[in-house]
Amino acid sequence: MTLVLRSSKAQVMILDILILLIICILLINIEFQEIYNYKTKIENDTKDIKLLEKEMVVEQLITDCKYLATLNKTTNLCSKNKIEIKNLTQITNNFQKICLLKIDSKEVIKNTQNKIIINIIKRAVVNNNDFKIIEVGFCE
Amino acid sequence: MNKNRGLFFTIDGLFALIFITILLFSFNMSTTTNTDKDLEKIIITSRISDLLITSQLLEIDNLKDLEKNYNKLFENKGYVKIDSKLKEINSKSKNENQLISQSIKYINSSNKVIYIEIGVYY
Repeated sequence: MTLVLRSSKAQVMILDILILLIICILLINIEFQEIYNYKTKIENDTKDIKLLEKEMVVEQLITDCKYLATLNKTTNLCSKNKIEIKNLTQITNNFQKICLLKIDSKEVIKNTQNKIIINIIKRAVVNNNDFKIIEVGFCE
Repeated sequence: MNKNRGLFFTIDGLFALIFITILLFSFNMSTTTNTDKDLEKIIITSRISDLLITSQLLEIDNLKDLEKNYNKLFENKGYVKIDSKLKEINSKSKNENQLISQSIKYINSSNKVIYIEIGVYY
């Protein structure tokens, strides 16, 4: 009688430990999956932030008179999206990741030797009273 | 014996708590915003602004020129509108069902008010 009781108690304990183990494995699996998803999300977010940073750089190029934007002599303000080809050395010095600048497929800055272009950002501008597309390439 | 049973219950309770925490954590993760889509929206909005500003600077008042400029900048499906005339622009890209549109009103050199609207699907 005592033997049967002990055996059933052992069975319950083994079953409990087994359930515990299954829950443990399940939890570890879920946690690993969550951590992996979180890591991927952080990587994607970092990539997006870097792209946004480049977008801001191009925005600065076409809005700031220090770079490509044209100065409106009557208002003494910089005209956004109205550009002239100027201050190219200043651009390459201040934004070292810029390795390519094209205005309507014509290369204005090209420094792509031994470099890989990661992103090309396209914007629409007015140059010499004509609609043009500028492409800014960023290298690592 | 009772002491042991209590210990097992405590461990089971702890596991239940951990499980609930992880579930809540997963739900929080799934409700975070999709930054890829947000970035696409920002980029499209800035390109539409470019087209509107350049159209004002060049005093564009015909659909043909505006469509030509649109095609240089976008690969997405969309439309261009000048005053009441509208032109749909189609593309080969699929799965575009959300729309971003912006408009501008400007006075040209002949003192005429021109209304331009540009819409881009993404």
